Amino acid sequence: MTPRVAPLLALAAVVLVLPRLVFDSADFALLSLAVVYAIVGLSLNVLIGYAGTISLGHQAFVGIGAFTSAYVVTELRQPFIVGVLAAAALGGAQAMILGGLALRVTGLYFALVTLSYGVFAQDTLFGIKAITGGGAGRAAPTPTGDGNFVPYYYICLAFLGLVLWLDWRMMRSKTGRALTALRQDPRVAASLGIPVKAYLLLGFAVSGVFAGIAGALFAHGNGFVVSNDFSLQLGILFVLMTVVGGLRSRTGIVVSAALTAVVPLIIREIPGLESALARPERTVPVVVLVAGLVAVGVGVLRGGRAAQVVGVAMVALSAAVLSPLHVPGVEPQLEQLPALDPSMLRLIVLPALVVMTLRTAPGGLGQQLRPVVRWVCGGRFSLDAGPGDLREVVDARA
Amino acid sequence: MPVLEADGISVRFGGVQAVRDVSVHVGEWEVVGIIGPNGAGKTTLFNVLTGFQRPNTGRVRFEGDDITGEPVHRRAALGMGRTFQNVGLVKAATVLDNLLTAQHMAVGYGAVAGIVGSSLAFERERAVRDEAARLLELLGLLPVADLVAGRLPYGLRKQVELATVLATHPKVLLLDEPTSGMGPEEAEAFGERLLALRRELGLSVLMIEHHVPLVAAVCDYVYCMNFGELLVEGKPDDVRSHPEVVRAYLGDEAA
Amino acid sequence: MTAQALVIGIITGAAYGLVALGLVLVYKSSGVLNFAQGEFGTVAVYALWLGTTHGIPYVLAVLIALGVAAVFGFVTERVVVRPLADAPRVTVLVATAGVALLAVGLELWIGQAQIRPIAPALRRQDRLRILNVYISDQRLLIILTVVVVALVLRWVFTRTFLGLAVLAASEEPTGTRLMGVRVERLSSAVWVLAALLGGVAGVLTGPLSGFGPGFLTSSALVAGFTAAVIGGFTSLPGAFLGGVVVGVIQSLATSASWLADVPGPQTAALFVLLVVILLARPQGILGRAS
Repeated sequence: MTPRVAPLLALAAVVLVLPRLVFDSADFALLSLAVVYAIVGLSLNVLIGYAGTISLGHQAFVGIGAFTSAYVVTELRQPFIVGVLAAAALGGAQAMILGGLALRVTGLYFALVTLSYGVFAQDTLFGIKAITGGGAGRAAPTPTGDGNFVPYYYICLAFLGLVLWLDWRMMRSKTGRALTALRQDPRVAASLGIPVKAYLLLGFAVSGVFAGIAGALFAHGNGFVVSNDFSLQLGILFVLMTVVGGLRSRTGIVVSAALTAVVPLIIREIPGLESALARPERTVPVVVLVAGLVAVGVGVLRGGRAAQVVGVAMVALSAAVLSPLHVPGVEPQLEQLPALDPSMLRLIVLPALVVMTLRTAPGGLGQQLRPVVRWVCGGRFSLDAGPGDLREVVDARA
Repeated sequence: MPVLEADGISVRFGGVQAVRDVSVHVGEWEVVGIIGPNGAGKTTLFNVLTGFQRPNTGRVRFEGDDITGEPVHRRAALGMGRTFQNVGLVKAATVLDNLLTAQHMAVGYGAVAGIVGSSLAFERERAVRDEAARLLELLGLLPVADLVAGRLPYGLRKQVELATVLATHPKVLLLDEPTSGMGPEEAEAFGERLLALRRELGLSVLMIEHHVPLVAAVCDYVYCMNFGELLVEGKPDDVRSHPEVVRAYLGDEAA
Repeated sequence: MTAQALVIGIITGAAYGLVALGLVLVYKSSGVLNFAQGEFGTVAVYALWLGTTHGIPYVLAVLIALGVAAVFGFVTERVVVRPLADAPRVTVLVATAGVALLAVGLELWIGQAQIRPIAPALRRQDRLRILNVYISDQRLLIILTVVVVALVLRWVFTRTFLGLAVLAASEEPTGTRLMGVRVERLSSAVWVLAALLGGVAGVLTGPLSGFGPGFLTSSALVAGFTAAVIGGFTSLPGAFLGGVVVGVIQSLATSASWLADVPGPQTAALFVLLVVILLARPQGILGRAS
C-alpha cells in the first residue's frame, strides 16, 4: 500500500500551518501541551495497550522526566537537549524498577502498586529539596526564550514525530510481536523462545523513555515545575484520555490526548459556549433536560423502567426551572452556582466519554478513525475496517 | 545419545503427588508416545520437560546437558518445540504474524535495533517474511495467512500451531494431544504428515496421545502413565496388550 | 513517644479502616477495585456542607448526605459497573477511576478549589486523654463506628441470607441465579451499602481537618487500599485491623527521627509497606492463600 499524498499534505498543513493562522502566539503554550499529552498517551499505550499491564502512576513517570530535565538545565547548566536526553534515560530507568515489581506482583495488585507509587513520587521524591526545589519548585527555562512558544511548539512536534516513529518501528519489529504475544498468552510466548520477563521490562523502559521526554517538554513549556503539577488526578486523566483514544491506536490516542489538553481553546472557539458556561443557571437545566430526554429514550428502547422514571423526573424538573412560570426557591439557588471552568469541564466530560467508550465502543476514537487512516495509508475506504483485537480494552493480566 | 531425557521426575502440588519418579527418554529420530487416562500426570510431565513446572526431584537433560533449571524460552532456543492442549497461538494476531512471532529467535537483530529501525532490521524482516511464506506454503496454509488466528476453525488452528512450532526450528517436538477433536481419518492423515516431517526435518517427537491406532501406527516406543506413575513402557503392541494398561483404561473387571 | 504515636496511629487508622471496609465489601462481592470509594464520601461531605449552609438541621443534613452517597453508588452500579460485568476487572477499575474523576470535577465546580471547614457531629475535644494525647469525641465516634460496622458486616456475611447470597453470587453467578436469587439486585444492594459506608466515612472525617475537592480520595484511598491488602482483601475485621496497622506505621514514620529528612514520610511508609507486603505475602497478613 502506498500512502495517498494529498491527505497527508492536508494533515501536515493542519498541524504545521493552521495553528499559525487561527491562534495567537500565546495559545501556542497550550498547543505545546497538547503535543506533550499526545506523547504521554503513547507512553501509557505501550504499557496498557501493548504490554497489557496498567499504570495509574504515570504522572510520576512524567514528573521524574520534568524534574530531571529542569535540574540538568538549571543546576548543571547543560543545554536543553541534554536535559531531554537525561529525562528520557532516568524515565526509562525508574520505569524498569517499577517493571521489576510487575514481574512479581500482577493484575489488580500491581494497579495498586502504581497508584501508591504515583502518590509517593509526588509527596516524597518530588519533595527532595536539593533536586526538585522542594515545595517551591524548580525553574525550567523555555529553550526558545521566555514566552516564545511558537518555535517551542514545533520542537515538541519533532519529538512527537520521533516517538511515533519509534513506536511504529517497535510494533513492526520483533519487539512488538513479542509484546503482543506475552500480553495475550505468556506461556505461548515463552515456548516460542521469547524471554517474557525481559520483554516486559523492555516495555516498561520504552514507556518510561517516552514519558521522560514528555516530562522534559512539559517542564520547559511551563517554565517552572512544582510537585503539585503531578497529582493522582492527572494520572487518572492520562489513563482516561488513552482509553478514550483507543488502546493500540496511535492516531486515536494522539487525537484524544491533544483534544484533552486544548479543551479551553475549543471552548473559546465555539461561539456562545464560553458565555453559556459562565451562566450555569441557564445551561445546567438545559443539560439536565437533554440528559433526561436521553434517559427516557434509552429506557423506552431497552425497557428499563428506572431509566424512564428518572428521565421523566429530570425533564419535569428542568422544564419547571426553564419555564417562564418561575418556580420559587429554586432559581436563586441556581444563580449562586459558580461559573464552569474549562479545566473542570475536562474532568466531567472525559469520564463520561470513558464510560461510553468502555460500554459501547471499546476500540475508542481509534476505531472510529480507522477507516480514514486506512484510506490515507492507501487502502480501500471501508467502514468496518479494523483487526479483531480492538475489542479487548484493558486486558491486563488480572 | 538420547535427545531428551527425564530422570526420576516427581512433582507434588500441596498434598497431591501429580508425578512420581517418572523417567522417559526420546532418542534421535524416535517418535515416542505417552498414553494414559485423564489425570495421569501426562501434561504435568510435559510442563516439567518444557520448563513451566519445576520438579521436586529429578533431572531433565537435553542432548546430554542438564537443563532442569533452565527457563522455558532458553529450552525453546536449544531446540524444544511444544504445542498446547488448548492450542497455543497469539489469538488476536493473523496467521502470518503468528509465524513471524515464532521466528523471534531466528530474526537476527536486537530489540533496540528493531525499535530504532536500523537497516539490518528492515533487511532481516524481509527474510523472516519469506521464511514464513515458505512454511505456510509447505503446510498448505497460504490461503489463510491474513486471517485472525483465533477465528479459524479448530482443526486449522491446530495446523497453524504446528507451523509456528516448526518455525522455531526445533530438534524435538513435544505435542500435547495433537489429534484431539479430529476424526479417525484426519488423525491418520496427521500421523502420515508427522512421519513425513520427521523424515524431512530430522525431528524427534514426544507426544501425548489418546488415539490408540495412531500411537500404534507412528510410535517407536510408548510409555503408559496412571496416577502419576509409569505403569508400563515398551513397543506399542506390547504396551497395548499389557494387562495393567487394559485395566487402567477399562477398569478392574476387564482384566 | 512511641506509645503516643501508637495512640495517634490507632485514631487515624480507624478512619482508614472505614474506607477499607467499603473497598473490601465491593471486592468480596464483585471482584472490583473501586476507585470511586473515596469520592462516595467526598460527595457526601459536600452534600452535608450545602445542607448545613442552607439552614437544614445537622442530623437531617447528615441523613440527606448519606442519601446522596447512596444514590451516587446506585447510579454508579447501574450505569458503569453492571454493563461491564463481563469485562476484565482492570477495565472496571479504569471505569471507577473515571467516576472518581467525574466527582472531583463536580466538587470543584460546586465548591471551588478551596479547603473548607465543617462542624463535626460531636464537638467536645478534651473528654478523653490517653498518654498525653487528647482524643476528640468525633474521633471516638469514628473508632466506635468502624468496629460496629466491621462486626455487623461480618455477621451479615456469615449468618444472614443476604450475605451468603452475595458471596454465592460472586463465586457462582449462574448457579445462584438458577437457585432463584436475583443477582442484579444483590449487586445494587452491595454498591449502595458501600456508598453508604463511604458516605459515613466522609461525613465523619470531613470535619477533622476540613475538606476540598477529592479530599477523601487523596487522604484515605491509598491508605484504605493498603489496609485492605493487609487484611487479605476479603476479611472485614481484617480491613479494620489493617487500617489500624497503616495508621500506626504512618504515625511512627512521622515521629521517627531518622526519617526527619525524608519528605512526605507518611506516603513513603505507605508505599514501602504495600510493596513489602505484596512481595512477602501476596495473600495479605490475615488472608488465606487461595
